[in-house]
Amino acid sequence: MPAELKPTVPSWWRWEGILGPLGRRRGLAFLTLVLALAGALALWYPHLIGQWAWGQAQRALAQDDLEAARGHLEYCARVWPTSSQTRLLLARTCRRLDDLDKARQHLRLLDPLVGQHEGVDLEWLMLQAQAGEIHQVEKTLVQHLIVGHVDEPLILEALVKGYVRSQFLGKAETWATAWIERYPDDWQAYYLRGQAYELRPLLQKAAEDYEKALELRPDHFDAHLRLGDVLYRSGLARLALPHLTYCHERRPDHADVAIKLARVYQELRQMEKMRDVLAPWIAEDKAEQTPLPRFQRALLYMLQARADLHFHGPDKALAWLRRAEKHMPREEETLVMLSTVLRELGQLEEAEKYRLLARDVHKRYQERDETVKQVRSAPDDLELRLKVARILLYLGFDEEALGWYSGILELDSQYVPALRDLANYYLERGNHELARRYNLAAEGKLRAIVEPK
Amino acid sequence: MAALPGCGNGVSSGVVPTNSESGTPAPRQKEPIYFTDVTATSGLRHIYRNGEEADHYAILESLGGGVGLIDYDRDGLLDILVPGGGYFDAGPSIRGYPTRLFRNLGGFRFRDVTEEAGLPTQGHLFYNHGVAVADYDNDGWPDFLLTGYGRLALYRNEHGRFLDVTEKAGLRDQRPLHWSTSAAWADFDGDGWLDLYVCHYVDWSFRNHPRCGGYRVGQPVDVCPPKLFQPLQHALYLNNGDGTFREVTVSAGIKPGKGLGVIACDLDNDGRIDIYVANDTTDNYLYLNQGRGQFREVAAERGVATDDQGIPNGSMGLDVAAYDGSEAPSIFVTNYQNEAHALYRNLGNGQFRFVSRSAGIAAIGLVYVGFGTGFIDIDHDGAEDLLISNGHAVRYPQPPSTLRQRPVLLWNRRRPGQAPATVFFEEITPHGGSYFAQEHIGRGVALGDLDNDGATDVVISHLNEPVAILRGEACRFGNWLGIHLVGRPQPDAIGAKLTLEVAGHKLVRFVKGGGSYLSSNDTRIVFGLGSAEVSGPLTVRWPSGRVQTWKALAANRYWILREGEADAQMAPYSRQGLPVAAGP
Repeated sequence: MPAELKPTVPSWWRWEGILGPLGRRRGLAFLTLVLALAGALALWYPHLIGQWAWGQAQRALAQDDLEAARGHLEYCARVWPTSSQTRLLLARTCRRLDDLDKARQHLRLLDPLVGQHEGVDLEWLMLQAQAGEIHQVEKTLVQHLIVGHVDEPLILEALVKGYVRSQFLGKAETWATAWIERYPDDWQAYYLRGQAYELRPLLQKAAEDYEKALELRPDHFDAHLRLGDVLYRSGLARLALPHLTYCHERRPDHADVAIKLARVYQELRQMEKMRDVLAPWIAEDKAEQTPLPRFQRALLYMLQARADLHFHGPDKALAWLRRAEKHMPREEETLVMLSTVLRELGQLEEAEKYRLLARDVHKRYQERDETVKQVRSAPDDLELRLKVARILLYLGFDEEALGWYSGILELDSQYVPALRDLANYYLERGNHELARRYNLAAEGKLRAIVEPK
Repeated sequence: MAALPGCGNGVSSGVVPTNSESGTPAPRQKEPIYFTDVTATSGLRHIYRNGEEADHYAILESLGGGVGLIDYDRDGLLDILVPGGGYFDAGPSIRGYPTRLFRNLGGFRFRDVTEEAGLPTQGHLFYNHGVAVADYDNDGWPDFLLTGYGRLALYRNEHGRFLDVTEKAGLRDQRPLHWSTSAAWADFDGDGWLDLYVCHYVDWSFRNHPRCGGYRVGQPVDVCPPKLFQPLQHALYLNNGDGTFREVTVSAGIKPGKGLGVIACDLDNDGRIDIYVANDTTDNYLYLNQGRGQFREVAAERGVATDDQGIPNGSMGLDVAAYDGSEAPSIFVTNYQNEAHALYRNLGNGQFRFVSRSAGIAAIGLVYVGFGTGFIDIDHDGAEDLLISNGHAVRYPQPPSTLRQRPVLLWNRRRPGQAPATVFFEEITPHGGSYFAQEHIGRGVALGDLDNDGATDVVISHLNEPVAILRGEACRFGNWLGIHLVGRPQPDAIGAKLTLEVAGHKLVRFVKGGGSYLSSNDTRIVFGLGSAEVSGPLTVRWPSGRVQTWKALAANRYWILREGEADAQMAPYSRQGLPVAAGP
């Protein structure tokens, strides 16, 4: 951390400011003293806590506990809103947690505080890289790496994440491998390369990297989660179980963990445990009340339908499937299940409708998989990337689709079909300003949708 | 565990401490071993070879071969037919190795009688895969069909010598490309003569032979996936009753598919024999018999076309059983890596449900590529267990899967009176014995009682690895009742349904056509009785529709039941076969 960016502490709350005058009259003096002390304490207390929070944040960062660090830093930022160091560290932490919007907000607040500043400029570059707009900043970042910048691991992290996000997986692997060669004990390099492998999909290699990451960081929640998921997808549910159980014990409120663990339990015929994992989400409509991505909500209901089909029969399952469908109308498994339970209930016509819809959706998945394979061999092909993005949008995987669109605009920021798609996307979701900007860009009247600074 | 007297004919005593269907559930023994590998001393030396040494990476190499159990000389002992596979000549042209016949000498000793039985060993042999055994001409001598690439062959059994009657029978097809795999015999049109369903696979040939990349990182070439090829039209032949057949494929409503497995059984309990086909990477087919040789394909509307995620699996082998204690036949299908083997439970209302996960099948992991399979009561507790032969289809599989794989043994945990929906399986592969401890490139599996001791034995074919013979030890764990049905006019009684009452519960078995993978099983039925020494009434619904009941058949022996005859005949064969050369 650059020395000039240490937290700035205002002078008015220092001890010498408080212990000034004592009156002659004892009572008045005492009262004054008490009032002064109380006032000072009231003013001083947040800063005292701020100091503590700052220390905690540093400790959390040292332990790679970014979520905890973020919480502490947010407190610090409230206490010291003009502290450039706090703001910069908070922006960086948000970025590393993939909350790019928040990171951008904090960086914008920093600009008037510090003006031109090397650390802040670098953070902007890393943010841009991580957002997938990587080609524009890669050269500068590589220059930093060549000169052995003190933040080298952070730069590598941003590069790898950016390439993963924009689906340039070969490059992600290359940079992650370079990172591993330079820092063989950095768990995060293995963890991020595992993600690139996972997307290709080379599940075995991904699992090996996640295992290595866990060797170096045995308590890393996300590495356990990803390893559990990859093992499950490789057909090794029994091996996945301890990792997902680990995650569930630590974060019983984590919907993704619950979904994956429920699937593993189902695979291993532990149906009661599957039901138990889902129960908190189903009871009192927790899944509705918790802010979850809609596909997660849909999957929770679909899995509950599976449990109910086993324990109670098709009637109860159908009710959950209807709810799942409401959230994710093109989720293949839900459609197949709907077809199954309706068939069992004798509602053959509707069952057939869902079967055909599921078949269509299945074809789209196949089409996506085929196209993604083609993209791997022709990573700069805009049309192929557009095809993947559109299929993902059709299937309801908005976040993933937006990642693909960002990859497209990375290759050609004026690619009209993608800009039009995004304009329509935001229009449909009520974000008129973004829709307008994408339309302007499509018409060639705007060069960048979101100004980096 | 001490040997129990259920083994062998005519002996019966002792109580079996297993979770008997008919007795009180008892704790599982710690170290029961259900099979003994007797290959080394059997005298049966045979390897199915696929020609991979030519390095064509042809999809033809991946199928492997089956096993046919056939008492070809009617000496009361099942003999073994094993296809030989093939190789690639310069050209390249596709050649075959001979299918071998091994005569059962008793005591798990076999002798190669291929030539003396009239089967070809030289000349232009075709690349052969599968065997389907049945008495198609109702003369009491079992015949067989041999499938493969380029043609199929029908061999008529003339009192222990085989004659190639393919041409004469009208089974030489005019297809531009012939690649037959599994086949099933059954009387589909109810005229008393066995008809024939033949699966065909894909349109691969050296003219349609793309080069495919590997499935593993760094592996530049491997066998192409079936998805790259078009399915072939399957075939249905109706038996004219005069030694000839007529093809009715199109008029019967039979569709093309990438067929690898087929089974014939009455799946909707309407008295007509239906057909279920396991297709590779495309929907499986369920053909419900509409009568008069007409079929309606209803797999999707009955829930047996795909897995529970709507995905058509890479399906290979299959079998049918009322494994759940109901009277309805459920379907089991072996599948490819990353897919659960499919158990479609028959709900009894014409619908099936994919229950592989809740029934414990998926718990074995999804790294296997399953081929031959069968329901087999390995401990005579009355609940049919499952045996699966595994081995990958490509040379360099995607990890974590491997080329050579362990077979899997799944124990049916059904208890007497248990609700069918709650029945599940538990993997007990280590209890299978030494063969199950090793990895193989498994393919066809045939189940049958090779020594007439009441325990079902197993013969397994592999890719480029010797055929294995496993002696079943079930009779050490429980009593049994063996039934040999002799139908009229069709002796094999394929399509018959047997219901046996044991200690207040019903055990249901089916005589099936086809099944497993490229293989033919013993058509005799063995009921595991657990500790029961006497069974209750046995009711047989014959394929003709006739229903007969026999009472109080003594345990631990085979009985011959003839259609239309009230008396049950004690089977004359023993471990050494028939005392006289006069079979049923």
